[in-house]
Amino acid sequence: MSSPAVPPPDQLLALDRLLRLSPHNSFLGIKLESAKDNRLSVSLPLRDELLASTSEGGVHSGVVSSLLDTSCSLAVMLKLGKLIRVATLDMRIDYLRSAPAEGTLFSRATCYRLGDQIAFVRGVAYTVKDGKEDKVAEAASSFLVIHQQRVSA
Amino acid sequence: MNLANVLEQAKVASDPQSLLQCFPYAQALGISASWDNEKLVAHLAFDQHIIGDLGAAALQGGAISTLLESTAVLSLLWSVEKIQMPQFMNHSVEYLASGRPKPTHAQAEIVRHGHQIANVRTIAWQGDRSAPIAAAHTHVLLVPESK
Repeated sequence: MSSPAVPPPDQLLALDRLLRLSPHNSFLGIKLESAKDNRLSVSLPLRDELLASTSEGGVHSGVVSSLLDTSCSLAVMLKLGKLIRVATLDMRIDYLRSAPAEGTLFSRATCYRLGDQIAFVRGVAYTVKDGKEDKVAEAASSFLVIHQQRVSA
Repeated sequence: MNLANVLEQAKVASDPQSLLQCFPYAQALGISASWDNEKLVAHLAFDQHIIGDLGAAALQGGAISTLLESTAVLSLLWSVEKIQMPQFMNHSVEYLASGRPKPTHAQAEIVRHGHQIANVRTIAWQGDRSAPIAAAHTHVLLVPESK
């Protein structure tokens, strides 16, 4: 069974609505950027409140964690082609460089294996400068697909 | 006031909570710290803004991860003699149970504290400490890259 390369517009809208309905994602300000060819991307405009420390460095690694959790879980639903509840089982994040303090942080995720119950997802968080991507973190994660629970959005 | 000064005063007063003033996001999310049986325990207060999935009333994994990471940093800062702002290298979280809409607590164990790298295990729980909702292991870089 192959999934359509471009999801129908109503599915995109549903993913976007689902994202907006999540209080934590709204609090952070995460937005859906695109979803096609099994690749989903989100963005997060950075602000001072999200900084890890007052003395140095960029946004808290927890912000990067939340962004990756969001992109990865939505990537599972994109692959599923329907809004079914998923739960993060585990996520390993490599922090490749210190996170930025300002600008916009992006994340892209792909569900590269979807079984009956488990989905495997890889995600990356990055910034864009002069049209070039610069990776901040990479994530490998697995999700439980809870088929009996549809999500309404 | 910089982190080194705040840390010094916090240690004199044995008050881990005062360290949080140096960590804007941890504070904004609702993280606090206290002592429990002489061990540092960090807390994440319940608030609507840490809910990830409204329908399931479940905490967002990233919010739990933030608590785990913050607990690791606070515990490391408390245990070091010389101030070095820890930098995360990698962080691996296992979500053991859905986070319910109530306070979450976390405690870190520094497994190995080397010159350059610290290895930290952290667990998070809600009502019952023997039923953790998440566990993490984290590698932290202690010496900033020179050059």
